[in-house]
Amino acid sequence: MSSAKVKMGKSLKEDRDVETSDDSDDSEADEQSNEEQNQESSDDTERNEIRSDLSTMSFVQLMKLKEELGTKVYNEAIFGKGSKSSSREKTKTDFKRANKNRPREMSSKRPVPFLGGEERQRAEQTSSRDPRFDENCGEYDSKIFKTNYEFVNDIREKEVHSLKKKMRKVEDEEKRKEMKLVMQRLQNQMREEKKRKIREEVLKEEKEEIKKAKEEGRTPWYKTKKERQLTELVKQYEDLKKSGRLVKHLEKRRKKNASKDRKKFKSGI
Amino acid sequence: MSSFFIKHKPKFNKKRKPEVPATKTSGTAKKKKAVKEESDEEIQSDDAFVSGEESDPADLFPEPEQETAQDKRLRLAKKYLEEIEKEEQSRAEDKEVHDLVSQRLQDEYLDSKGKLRKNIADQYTGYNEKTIKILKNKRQNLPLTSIVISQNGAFMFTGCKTSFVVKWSVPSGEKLGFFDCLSHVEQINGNKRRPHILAMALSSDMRFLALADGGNNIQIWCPDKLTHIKNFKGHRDVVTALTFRKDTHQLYSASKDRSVKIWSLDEMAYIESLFGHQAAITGIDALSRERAITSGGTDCSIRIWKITEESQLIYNGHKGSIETVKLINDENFVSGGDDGSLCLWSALKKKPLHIQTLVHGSQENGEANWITAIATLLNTDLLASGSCDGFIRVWRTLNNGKTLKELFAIPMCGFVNSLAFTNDGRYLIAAVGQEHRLGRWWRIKEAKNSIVIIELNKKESS
Repeated sequence: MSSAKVKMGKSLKEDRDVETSDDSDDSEADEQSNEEQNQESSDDTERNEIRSDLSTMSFVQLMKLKEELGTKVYNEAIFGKGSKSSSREKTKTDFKRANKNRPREMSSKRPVPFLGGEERQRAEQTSSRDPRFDENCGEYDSKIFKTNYEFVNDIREKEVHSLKKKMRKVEDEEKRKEMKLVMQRLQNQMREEKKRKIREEVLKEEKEEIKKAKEEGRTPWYKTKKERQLTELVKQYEDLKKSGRLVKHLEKRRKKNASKDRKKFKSGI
Repeated sequence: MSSFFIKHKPKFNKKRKPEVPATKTSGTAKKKKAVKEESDEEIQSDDAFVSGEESDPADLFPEPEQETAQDKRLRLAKKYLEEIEKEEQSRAEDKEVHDLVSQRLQDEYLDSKGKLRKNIADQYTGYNEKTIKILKNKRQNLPLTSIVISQNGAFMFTGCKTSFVVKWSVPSGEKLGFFDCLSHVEQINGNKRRPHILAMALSSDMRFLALADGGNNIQIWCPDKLTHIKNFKGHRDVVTALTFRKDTHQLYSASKDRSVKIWSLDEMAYIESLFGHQAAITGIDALSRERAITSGGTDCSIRIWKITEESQLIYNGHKGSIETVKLINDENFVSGGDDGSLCLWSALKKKPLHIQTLVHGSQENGEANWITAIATLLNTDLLASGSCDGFIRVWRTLNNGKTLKELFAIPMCGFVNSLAFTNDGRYLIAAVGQEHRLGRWWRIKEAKNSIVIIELNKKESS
């Protein structure tokens, strides 16, 4: 057993020597090839010796030997090196022409689509359309667009959910940061969407009020932008008061304004 | 330039040489002259010039001198030269004989292999109008579509737009038998399609007859007993062309599904598929090498399939669809398209060697008459092409297949759907119909659906 092991180790070492010497200059290439041939023949004899040694060993011993050496070295020593690579070389064929007047040559094993099929496929792949800017989709109406793409909000919600789940597992700090940013953006979008909906509802109510007034013969009250903002502000105040976050909110606002003032003051000087 | 032309002159131009005493030159000069005359006649004019210079009276009456050492050397040299000449002559004769023998042996070998190239087209003078045989059969009352002739030229099989295939004897024009391929046509949803024989192929040893019934299957029949052997399934679309590799049982089939498939009839099995064409394949041909050639219809390409190398050579040509392709020999082939042109090709050139446009003229609307069939006599320079213009045209290729010359035209009413020469080049057989092989776009009512056997006239060769 030990002799076989020694031989295997030796053959492997020689193989490595050959590999390293392959990098040397072109001038030595011929000698090199001769050497390689010799090497090959000697390899064969050695392999045969190894095989004959192995043939007397029991399976348990063989298993042990394999474990000790590792399967890669073991296989290399027994079956020879590069048996795989040679088969790979075979499949690689060179279709270079002797000159440009010769016919093209290519593999006959690759199925091809019908004439023009390839181009059609490519065209299908490349065309990406944005309905907001595509003339084929008519003029852009944000309201219609938003109702049509309502489902995106659901997707966002799901995504936030899944991201939260994933974040627990991810340990890499940078990745985590990235994910957090994505999540925050999604959450912001969702919040904004909610606000927009509320605003829209208010507008709707206003319109209905006007309609009602007209029907009843009263003069309708058309709200200005400023009035609308004021009512919104009042509503916000009430909401905050209900939820008990009023003090915190006011504090934040005061700080913000103070910092703004400071900046103005500095730039003024 | 000039130095090139006067290169040989200075050798004999004595003018340039310094003057030598007259008495000494007189004898030697003359002898030298004699040697020159013997050895080379081309320099006579030069010699005359030289002799003109010598006007020495002593030269006219040469004394019987004692032979000097120099003279002796000259004499011996002459003798030696003569001997060599004789030897060379006998050797040259031997060589000539050897050359002739080797040439003949080579020719015989090539002939036995079916590879000897002969130029025989100039012997053909026309066709024999009296011996034209028109064969008709009631089972083949629709347009004839294909013909195959056995290797020895004794039998032929014909297919048409009905389900019957008829076996004929070529020299006598007798009907030997028939079979109906309908019973082996595949069923689709419990219904059978009306068969329409698109292509046939006969193995060289007359053991198998393959036929495409207009569907996805290939039927194999026994040409002797006229019995069904097997159906080959595998193509995904209509099989359009079939051929056997010469002297083997390897079948190549081409289909509308753009693939070429190879079948082995020894094992009765499918071997492999070859891909590359981008449109329905229209024609196929093969010789004894393991190579097939196909024409790819509207993708305007002809491809030679190197089966062992798993690769293909691509040749582009023609303006419309390429309808048929036929091999002339291992290197050259000819193709015909629906643009009405015949192209001659070499396997080593990507473009055609020669293009003969509007071979069969054009129709009233200006559209060219499609080439529907081509026949070649293997390894010779004889070709025939058919269309619907009322003539079969017989051609001769010149300059190693670089030019085409029309030899004669044989009047033939109707669509010439298939053409074939017998292997000895004695008969040209045409399958004629009222309609095109593949469809019913046009109809020539005056035509008769029949097979026409035309005997070709040959000059007595010496």
